[in-house]
This record gives sequence, C-alpha cells and structure tokens, in this order.
Amino acid sequence: MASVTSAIEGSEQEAVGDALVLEIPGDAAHLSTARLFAAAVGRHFGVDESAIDDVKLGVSEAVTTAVDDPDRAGPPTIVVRRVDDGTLWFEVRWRRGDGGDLEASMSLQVVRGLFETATLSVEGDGETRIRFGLTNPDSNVPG
Amino acid sequence: MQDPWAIVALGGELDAHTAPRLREQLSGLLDEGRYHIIIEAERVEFMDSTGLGVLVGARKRATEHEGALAIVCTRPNIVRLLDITGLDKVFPVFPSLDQALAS
Repeated sequence: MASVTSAIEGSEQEAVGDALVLEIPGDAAHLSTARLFAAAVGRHFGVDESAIDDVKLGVSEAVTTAVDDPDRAGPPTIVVRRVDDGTLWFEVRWRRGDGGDLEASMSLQVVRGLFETATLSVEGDGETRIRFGLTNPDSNVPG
Repeated sequence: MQDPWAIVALGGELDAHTAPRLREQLSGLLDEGRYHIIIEAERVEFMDSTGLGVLVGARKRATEHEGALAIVCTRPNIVRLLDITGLDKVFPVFPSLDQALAS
C-alpha cells in the first residue's frame, strides 16, 4: 500500500514549504500510482499542462529504474519540493546494497533526455537518488 | 490468403507492469510466422522505455525474417519518447493505419 506524507526535507537549497512525499512498494504494479502522484503534485505546484506528460514520464522512468534495480534494498520514495529559487525538484530515492552500475539503465537515459537537470547519485550508505528539476514550472519548457 | 500485416491495436498504459503481456502477444504472432506487424498506438495513453523495449525486441525478430514493425501514432507524448530515445529513426511511424498499410 502506498503511503503519502508531507515533510520538510533537508537540502543544500532552502525548501519553500513542505515537501510532498509518496512511498510505494517496489513493484511495477504501482507505477501508475507514481504517475498519478507526479501529475497531481505537478499541477499542485503550477506546472504547465504541456509539461505534465514529461513529469509523468520522468518520474515513471526513475521509479522503474528503482524497481528494476537488482540491488534495491528498500522501497522507492518520491519526493517533490520547491526551493527558494523557484525550481521544482522531483526526486526518486531508494536504498541499495553494493551492486552494479545503474548508468546502463535505459529508463535513466530517458530521464536525462527529458531533463537537462537530471542527476543520479549513490551515497556511501546506499542512498540512491534520481532527481530532476523544472526551473520554470509554470512555463512549458522542462528544466 | 492471410493478410500480410498483423495489426495489433493497443490502448491504456504501457509500462514495466503491462509490457510483459504485450511481449507475450507479439511473441505469439512471431512464433506463428507473422513478421509484418503494425502497432496501432493511437489509444495508448502512456508508454515508457520498457514498453518501447518490447517493440524493439519484436522488431529485431521480425527483421531477422525480412519482416517489419511499424507504429501508427500521433500522440505527442509517444512521439516525444520515440524522439528522445532516437527510435523515431528505427521505427517507421505513420499518422494513420491507411498510410501504414499503403507503405
């Protein structure tokens, strides 16, 4: 069962208001839930309708990367927050053990193709994040 | 005489959850020797790289037997996915079934 929470997330950049967070089971059956969440939160933050499809695809591909990760050690969590420069960040996090490189993931390549701001980071403790930001969420140009 | 083109009409969402069903269906067609396939995707509301991967796999099998796999679609989100992945240069994409059949 997916759970939705609202939380203030720490970041190098100051979050403006609460972040919206959705944790979903690590199962492809919940990809549609992830997309519904991404679209709803995008609209909540004023993302232009013409960019909503890109947001849905970006989040769906990022969650797919997590679900398909053979070294995944925890459920994927989607975190969305706006920071003080106006950028709206979408982030998919999960924990992974020591394992293979995620760079070959086709899903990751699609996220990068959609958003110039897309990054993948894997911390020493296994915390893994794919994030992308929309610098002008209310325009139709993905960041 | 059998129609040379097998037309597969898709709808709904094509992602990592639903793609295995499409893979199974296309494999069935290819196993029957149907190597000319048209994917009618105008009613597909969402497609991701996993769905596209299924089409790539089917196309590979089809072309190994001198067949082809074409896509009928004008939906901007799917056309964009094909563009981002560079697969718009791999798949023949047509705006209508009639145009695909006439090709």
